[in-house]
Amino acid sequence: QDRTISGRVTDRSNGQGLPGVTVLVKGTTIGASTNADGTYTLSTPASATTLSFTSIGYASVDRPIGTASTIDIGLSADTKQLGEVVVTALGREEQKKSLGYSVQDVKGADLTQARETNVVNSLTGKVAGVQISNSSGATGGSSRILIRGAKSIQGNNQPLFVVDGQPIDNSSFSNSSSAGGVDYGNAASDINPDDIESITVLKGANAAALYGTRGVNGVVVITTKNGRKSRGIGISVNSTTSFETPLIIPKFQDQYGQGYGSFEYVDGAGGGDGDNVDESWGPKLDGRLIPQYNSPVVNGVRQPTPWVSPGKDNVRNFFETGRTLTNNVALSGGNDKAGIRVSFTNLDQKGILPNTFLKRNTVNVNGGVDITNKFKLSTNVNYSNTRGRRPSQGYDELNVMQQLYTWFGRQVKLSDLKDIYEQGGREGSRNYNWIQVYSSNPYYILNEATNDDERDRLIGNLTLNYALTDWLNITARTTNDVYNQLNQRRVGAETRDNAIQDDYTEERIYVLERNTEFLATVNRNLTEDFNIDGLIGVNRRDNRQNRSQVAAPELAVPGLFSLGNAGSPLVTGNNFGSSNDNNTGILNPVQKSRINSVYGSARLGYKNFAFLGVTARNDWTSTLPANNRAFFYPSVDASLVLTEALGITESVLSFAKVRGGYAQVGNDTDPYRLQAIYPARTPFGNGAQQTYFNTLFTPDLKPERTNSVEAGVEVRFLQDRIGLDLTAYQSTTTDQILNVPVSASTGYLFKVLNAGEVSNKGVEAILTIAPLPTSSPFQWNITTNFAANRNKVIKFDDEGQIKNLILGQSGFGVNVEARIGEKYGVLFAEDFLRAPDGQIIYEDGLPVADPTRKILGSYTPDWVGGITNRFGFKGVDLSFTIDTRQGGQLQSETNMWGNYTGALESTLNGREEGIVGDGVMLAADGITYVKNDVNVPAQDWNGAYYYNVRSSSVYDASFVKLREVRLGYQLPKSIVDKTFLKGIGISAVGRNLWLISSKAPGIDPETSFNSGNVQGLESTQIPSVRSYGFNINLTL
Amino acid sequence: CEKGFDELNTNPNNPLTISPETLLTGAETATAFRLFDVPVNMDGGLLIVQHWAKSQYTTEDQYRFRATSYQSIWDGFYTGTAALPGGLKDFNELLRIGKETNNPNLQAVAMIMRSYYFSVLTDVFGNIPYTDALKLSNEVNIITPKYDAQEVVYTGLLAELKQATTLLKTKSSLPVSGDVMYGGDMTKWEKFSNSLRLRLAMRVSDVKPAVARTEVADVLNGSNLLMTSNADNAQIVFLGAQPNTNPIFENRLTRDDHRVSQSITSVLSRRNDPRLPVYANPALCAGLTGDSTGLYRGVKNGLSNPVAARGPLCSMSKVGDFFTKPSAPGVLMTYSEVQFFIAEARARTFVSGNAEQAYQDGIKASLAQYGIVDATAVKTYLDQALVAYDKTSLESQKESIGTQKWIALYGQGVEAWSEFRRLDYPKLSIAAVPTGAAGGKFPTRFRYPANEQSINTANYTDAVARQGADLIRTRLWWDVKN
Repeated sequence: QDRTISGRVTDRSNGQGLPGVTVLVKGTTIGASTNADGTYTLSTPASATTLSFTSIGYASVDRPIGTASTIDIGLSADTKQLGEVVVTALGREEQKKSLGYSVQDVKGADLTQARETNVVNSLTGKVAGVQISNSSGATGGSSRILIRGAKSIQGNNQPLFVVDGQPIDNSSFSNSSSAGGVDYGNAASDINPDDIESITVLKGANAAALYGTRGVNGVVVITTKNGRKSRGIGISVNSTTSFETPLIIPKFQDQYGQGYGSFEYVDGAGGGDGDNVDESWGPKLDGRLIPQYNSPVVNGVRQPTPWVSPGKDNVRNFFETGRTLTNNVALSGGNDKAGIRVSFTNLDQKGILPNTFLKRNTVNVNGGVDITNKFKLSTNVNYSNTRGRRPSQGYDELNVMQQLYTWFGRQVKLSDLKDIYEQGGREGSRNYNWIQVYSSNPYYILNEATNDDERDRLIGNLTLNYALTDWLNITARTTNDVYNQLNQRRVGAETRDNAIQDDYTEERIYVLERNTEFLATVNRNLTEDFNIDGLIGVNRRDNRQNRSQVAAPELAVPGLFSLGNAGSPLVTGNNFGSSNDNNTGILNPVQKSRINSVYGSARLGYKNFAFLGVTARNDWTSTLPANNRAFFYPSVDASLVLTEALGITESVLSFAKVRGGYAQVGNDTDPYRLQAIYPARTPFGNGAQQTYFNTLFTPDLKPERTNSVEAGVEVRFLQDRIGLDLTAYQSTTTDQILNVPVSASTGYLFKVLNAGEVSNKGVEAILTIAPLPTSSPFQWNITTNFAANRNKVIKFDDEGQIKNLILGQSGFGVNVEARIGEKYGVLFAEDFLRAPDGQIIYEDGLPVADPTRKILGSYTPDWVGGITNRFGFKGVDLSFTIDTRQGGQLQSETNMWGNYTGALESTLNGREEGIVGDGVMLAADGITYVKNDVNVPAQDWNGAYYYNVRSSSVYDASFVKLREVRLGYQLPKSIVDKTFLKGIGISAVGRNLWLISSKAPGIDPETSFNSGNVQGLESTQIPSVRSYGFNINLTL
Repeated sequence: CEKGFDELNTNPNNPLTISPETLLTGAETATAFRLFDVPVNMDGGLLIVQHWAKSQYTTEDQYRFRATSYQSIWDGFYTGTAALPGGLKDFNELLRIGKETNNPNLQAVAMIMRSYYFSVLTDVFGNIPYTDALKLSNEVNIITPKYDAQEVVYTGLLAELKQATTLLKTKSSLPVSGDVMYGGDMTKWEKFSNSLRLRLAMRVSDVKPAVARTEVADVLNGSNLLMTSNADNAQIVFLGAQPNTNPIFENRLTRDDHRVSQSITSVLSRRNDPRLPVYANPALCAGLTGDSTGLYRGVKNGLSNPVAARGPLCSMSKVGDFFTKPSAPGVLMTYSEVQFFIAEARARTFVSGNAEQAYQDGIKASLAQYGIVDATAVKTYLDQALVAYDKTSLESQKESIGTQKWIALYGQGVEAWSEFRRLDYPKLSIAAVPTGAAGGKFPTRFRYPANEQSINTANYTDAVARQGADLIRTRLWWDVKN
């Protein structure tokens, strides 16, 4: 009599369900295959005794049936036979063991349960050698990803993103910096985690040589889900709900209010004593009677009311609980000949700041069909619409954090301001505001000074594949990635005190990348022992970018934000945010470039344990001068599986492999960097105005070159229960094309140079441990990764005149620099003037700044690492990830200004009795130093200590974070079968939960304004968020 | 594989050519804007010489200037910044174009403006790159220019101006187009050239009296045209519409923390000076002491934030509308200055003549500049004891001239500061809370921009070693201690 057996097949390494596993009654052809979530149901004859589970890339397992009706099983990756397959350059599937370089995988399910709206963040702590810089807690902010350190002094240091063989754009058009602006996110954040099957990180130039110029920083290869494996129709629903709260905010003082010593409110505009002061050095909040902004006015006289603190959670309560809903429905169907998957995802995020949000709808269609046995067609089309309303950032009055963290009367009750705004709205808000000279009611700012953006993006490719013979394939592929973005900045008139009219700016961005590619691939056994796997290809890449910005600084009719409503002449150009943004992108609103390429690769295998790979590529780029347009670069790598070569089988050592490689990659530059330009300004009356451009271009640029070597060893013990993957690498990038800031006295602010050199060397380690034996019903896997990168700037110009290069600077004079002989990203600014013994020198009781500036640190960390523990038992899956970044510094303007203005708890010291600063002063003899004994008011001391000297606000940026916790439960088949569903999974998830250790007070040291090279600066950050919620996954 | 690449990489966004007229217009307006902008003027010279004061955020008024201001002055004057392109570099290129096209007039205009802005730079910082400056090109790789001693800069500028006059005296008929200052009137340029040479020669009169005597005597030998009325003033009148408006107007769109200094309101009111209602607006409310509204009530310089905050703000006189209107002029040099220099040159006997007459002509020129021409009113003003020229000694003459010059230069922060440093008159009180790096003195220079320490390290270090510590209390070469 037949009986039904069901169960779930999982990957032992991560506990995730494995789809497409063949489950056969041993010795028969009776079988089934597992669904998307790894579950299966099989009707077996009574005679059946054993089930066998087989899947490509995994060791087959036979399991006696006994009397069980449920059989769950975990499969381990097979290292001996076919081996683990990874997706490498150009979307090819290759055996991991054949590779001479380091790659690392992340599975799709890891991205969708504990999800991040920006997929880049999901890699944090999980991949060795990859450093992610999360942006602040602003909705949809950008993330910077860096693999094996910064190689380019000034250029893009981020890896290339490739989806199903298609390079996609990861531009960031954010103008946010420490001086203000808005972070619109990085374009790769459009990738929808629900559609991702797996992510493979190709770390070095060796791995990426075939991607050409942009592969130099590594490649993030994303494979999306398709319908091929689904066998019949499958519907899955994935729903995540999460809530966000601030992870950390500064500690404020609640004992002293607004003003300087005394205070009286008259009109909020300087009419009273300290009335226009936005600092908190005022009277003690002891209930004394003072006329205040909310005091009743009787017969025109404001009646004094008790001067008290609004409570210690005044600022914390300003934040709303953020909420993120993500719902995905995917329909897939397929058979042996064809498959299709259609997916729709809705993301709806409400930020922690009032009136901020991010909404995204994504439709993905991924399908393929074998038209004949030899002729295959596949296509992937992804459309997304993203809408955001994002807060302003940095040190700018449009960023409400500037008020809440620094310039603020601590006695002001924020809920009052909400009431005032809601009563007064657009028109009335200002008249009741507590300080109106330089900043407006924060509720007014968030509601009436908004930054909206909308992006429509279509990513699509079409691939035709024809098998000429069983060993020769021809592929033609065209890929397009195109998007339009509209950014709208609306600034209500009351936002700035002296503004007369509303102000409106819009920015339009169009980006296109098109690749057309022909490939011939060969995979052939030359002899019984030798196999060759190779390809030859040609590619044309076209890039287009249009960007325009138009502002109507004074609108005619209030509240109608439209260029058509301009009340004064429209202004074009870079007027969109931060004024010290040196981004010259807008200088060239229209940009076009093209690269033509020919490339090839071959991998020769011997007895499937020794491999030798070579690649070669020649590029022709439009952006370099005629004599340097064409450049060639090769790579070579080798790997040897020792255990197989030496015939080691039954041993403690279950697998051993050594690998190594060398690669060179060339790189071109941005368009239009060869030819002098003479920018025009708005005419003076009728007179046209032009100027010499501030950058000296060089007509004879040559391509940048990166040479890199890497070597690694991979060993596994005790039937793969312990695995160690070690990699050491070194890379040197020469002939870097630099836009070097030069002394203005040269006649230019920048000169384009072609000589810079940077070296990176480092080690990466991945250690995996399964402490429990394979037979145990419990599963416990530990994955640890560690990476240390040593980065050194070697030279800038051939003549050696330039020793330092300024990458950027904060609004208050902290330079971020590359300096010869130093780590990349030095923070350079004033320190205290110090006596010979290192003590701070005081004059008149105040610390003195040293006019000679110093290196105060570097934003580059010493090492990064992460550890993930994963426990599995009978469908319950618990995992948590802790990650850390050690070393590196940052400068915090929150602390600098928060101490200056008396807002922070740290300013309570000496409020009544004054401060005698810890340091020395010149003795009467004018030569020696004695201990400082001059008592000064706390306000003066804090002002001088934090404002005059930048080193006082430079902190160690090291941290340890509980990055992710996930508790999942896959309902047993026996329960699921009683429903109409095929699978039910639920999980509780949390991300960014706990800042376990940090040395920067009151802020998240993991902070950035954009994904560029100027990092290590913090200014009134929008707090990063702690996120917690739950995920439901249903399979129909 | 390279088909169409040349066309593809030709910049379609920006002009690839430039003409002398568009270059001249852009350079003139940008530099005039910069001269009156926040860093060097509103938060710089005007606070130091106590024409203006701060009613809030009084940091700069206490001689704690921002590093970003130093950078902005340096970058802006030499080459122009991203926010406001156009600078000295453009005049340098105009000089080259003038030579290439054999246009002596264009060469002269470029040399005069070049000299003007080099003199501003050296008067602000001291030693500056001059001989090495503005040379960088794809052929000449001077990427870290050395700093010249201020004496070298002055010697060079005096020679350049003399040469400019020589060029103009050839009376070439080749036009100079795009000149928004003098409309291409070469006679006016010749007057400006000589007047400016007089200014620079007088500037070295304490440190190199013999040089000053020779140069001044040469300028004033009767064969050289000088400014003879306010119509000859070197100024650019800004337009009424953004973005070509006056920088003070631009600043008032987002800031309101400058007021008129008490030093100048009290000096003017003691003399019943008819310029007071032009320089300042009446206060809008009573002060803390309860005195009446409508007074021209200036603010003491260098107040601490707490004291300034007691205000009330409305009791402090704002800067006169004449200076804050969108179309206010940006003044480089005036006829009244020329008269004051002549008066001083006569007092120092560099040349002969009636010093008092020139002094009075200087005052009349300044009054006329603000529309005060009524003969009776002018005479009443001149006849006051406080205004009358004090011939007692050279020192007393310097005091008379210094005081009236200080009044006449109202609003022109850089030049007022230079002349205040040189003449040491009028005797002003140091700012109330001089906690900055001035060491209890008036600032005598600005610090070099911080980025020079990063990108021109060796030359910066050398300049500081020769000139003295990079502090705002280090004296310039021509600023002789008295």
